[in-house]
Amino acid sequence: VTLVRAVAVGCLLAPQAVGAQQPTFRGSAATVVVDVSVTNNGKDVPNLTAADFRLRDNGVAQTITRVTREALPIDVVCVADISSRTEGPLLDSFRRAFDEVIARLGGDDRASLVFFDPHIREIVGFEKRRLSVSAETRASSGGASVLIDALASSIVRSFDPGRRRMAVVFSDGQDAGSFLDESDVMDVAARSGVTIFAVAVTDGTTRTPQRPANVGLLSALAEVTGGAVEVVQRDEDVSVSFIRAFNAFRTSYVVQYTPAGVTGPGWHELDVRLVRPGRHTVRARKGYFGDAAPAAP
Amino acid sequence: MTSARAPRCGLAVLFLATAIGGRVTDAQSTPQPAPARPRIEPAPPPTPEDVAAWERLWGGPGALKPPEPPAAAKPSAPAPSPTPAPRDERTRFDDLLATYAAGDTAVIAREFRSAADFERVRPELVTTLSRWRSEWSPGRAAFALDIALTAFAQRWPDPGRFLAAARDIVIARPAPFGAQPADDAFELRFHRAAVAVLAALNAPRDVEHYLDSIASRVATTREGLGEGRPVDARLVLARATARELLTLPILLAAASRQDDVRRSWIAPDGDGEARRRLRAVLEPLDVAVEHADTRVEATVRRAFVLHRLGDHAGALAALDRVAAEGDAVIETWRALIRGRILAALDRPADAVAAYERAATLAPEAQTPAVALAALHLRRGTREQAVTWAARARSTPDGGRDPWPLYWTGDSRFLPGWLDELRTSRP
Repeated sequence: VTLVRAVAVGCLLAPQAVGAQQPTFRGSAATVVVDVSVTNNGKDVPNLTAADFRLRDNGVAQTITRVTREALPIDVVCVADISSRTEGPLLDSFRRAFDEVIARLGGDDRASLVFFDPHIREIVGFEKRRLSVSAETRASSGGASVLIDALASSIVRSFDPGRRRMAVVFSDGQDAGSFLDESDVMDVAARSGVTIFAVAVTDGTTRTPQRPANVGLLSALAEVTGGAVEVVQRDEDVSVSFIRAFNAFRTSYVVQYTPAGVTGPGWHELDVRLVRPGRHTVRARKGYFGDAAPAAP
Repeated sequence: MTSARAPRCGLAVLFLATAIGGRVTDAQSTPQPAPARPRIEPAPPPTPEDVAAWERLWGGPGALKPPEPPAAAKPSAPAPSPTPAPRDERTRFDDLLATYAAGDTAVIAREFRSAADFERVRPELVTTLSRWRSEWSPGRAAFALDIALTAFAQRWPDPGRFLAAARDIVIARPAPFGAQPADDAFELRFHRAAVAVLAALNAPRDVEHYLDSIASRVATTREGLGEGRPVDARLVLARATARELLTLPILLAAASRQDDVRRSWIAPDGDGEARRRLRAVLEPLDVAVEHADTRVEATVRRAFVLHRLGDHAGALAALDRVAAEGDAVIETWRALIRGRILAALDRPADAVAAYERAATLAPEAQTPAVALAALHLRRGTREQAVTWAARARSTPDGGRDPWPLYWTGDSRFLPGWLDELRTSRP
């Protein structure tokens, strides 16, 4: 497995009362939550505190009020292309990968599963029987994949202030059937509060590796939401990538602050760094929408 | 990021063009009397990458299911009864034709169950189809078209050869347009069906090659108007739809050969290739909007192109100038495109109303639900966004979403047109 871009693991979990009709960003009264991944040579860096981070919101330095780790349950949605392009061993590998993720869920964690080809469908009730039952992964015949529409509809979910959310996309990046375009899904991703990881499948093999034809969108989505992209050749076991994504998200830090000196709606650019000396890699989402980031209860 | 191997799908759809273009040249060299036909340049052969990219995007020819045959041996409308071939020239296809003409149109699907079945009979079939050009018979043409359609469905590598042969049977008919109204109607219906087959296969280059190959008989461009040939507005619209497919964002991104190009509907001012392709769509649409039977669809498509060129106000004005029609598919397209235009004009409440109309027109479609989820999220009405997103994920897979049909031209009419061809008798 080639790690193309271990981009940020992070997430804005802007806590909100579920079902808020018109959430508004309440300036200094709001608490903003950001998932931050810190690694050193690919390994987690443990035992960090608020004093180890520096965070800027629209260029204004903020006071971090709380840093926790592995304290909140996780919601993970897997969004998988099951068109004819992924049929066969590759899709079998995905089924195993999803089972591996399910096996790693904690007691309060939750998973959901969305398949797409030219059609989008959420699979319900898989928790009790696992995906070794392959009936649901039968692809439709023909037609163009709708990666963008599927991803957008999969990550638009209710906020739960007490949970963190991630998505893992399994796709070759091809989309010729969606109604939404890349700008639309980038906007949805930025507002969704979900950290997106992508397992990008190529036409190559481990002997003759290739890059996915359309990895650009997946990389951009991962970057803006604080996730990562891994490129997988067709003959590789994708479960390794799935588990790595899940573990990276689970072990990331949850950094909270109350914005000061920055108010109002619109895009807030985030810049998170580590104060500690050393060659650390810090990854977090690139920002959040103030008008979609309501106050914590 | 390093550049990725971009799909060359804009070129990949040349897949069948060589065969079709080549047949035109072959036909000119036959000794049979035939109307003058234009010489068209053979398309460059597709590269393996073209074919692979095309298959990756659309699943390849197998995506086209074989036509649903009527019940076996069903005595439908009087079938054409072509003159039997002389005994020494007769092939098994003459016998199959006799069965087909008797109403058992399923005989083709039974005889050709795989590409290998076509390979075995290819020389004999080509010879037979060539011979059939010499004596006009609509039944033979319909039979040949069904052969081609089955060849596509069975992934025979050279199905365009049969489609071209079928076309040549039709355009070799001796009477000029205007002399035999029933034959005229059959020929136009035939061309519509043949083009719809290619549209169903997402083969826009082949659609244009086909239309060019019949330019001496039917006008499908503005330049061809007023030269005494009939104009078939549906074929004009088919040309526009074919060109529009080449403006899909993923194909434009592939044409740009840049992996990091944002694939959006709106073509930026600096994207010359995208804008050139979009303007090329407008040419046939401007003809199609002038004909009653294609006015509404052409207007909807024209509005989408204008929107993509950045003329949102002009697009909305055009869209609102034509009255609604009874075709729910077209009205759903109109509502979806209207929603997108209104959102671009910063009228989100009106855009929501337009998308909701689309959802009402097509209650089992995913596309309006996806559009509403994204728009509500942008507006900050997350609860509605969540509701629509859940609906998008739970609609039944019944193929009832009109949006994918937008990109396959008249293929939605293909079953009906084929039935008409099979049972027509001039």
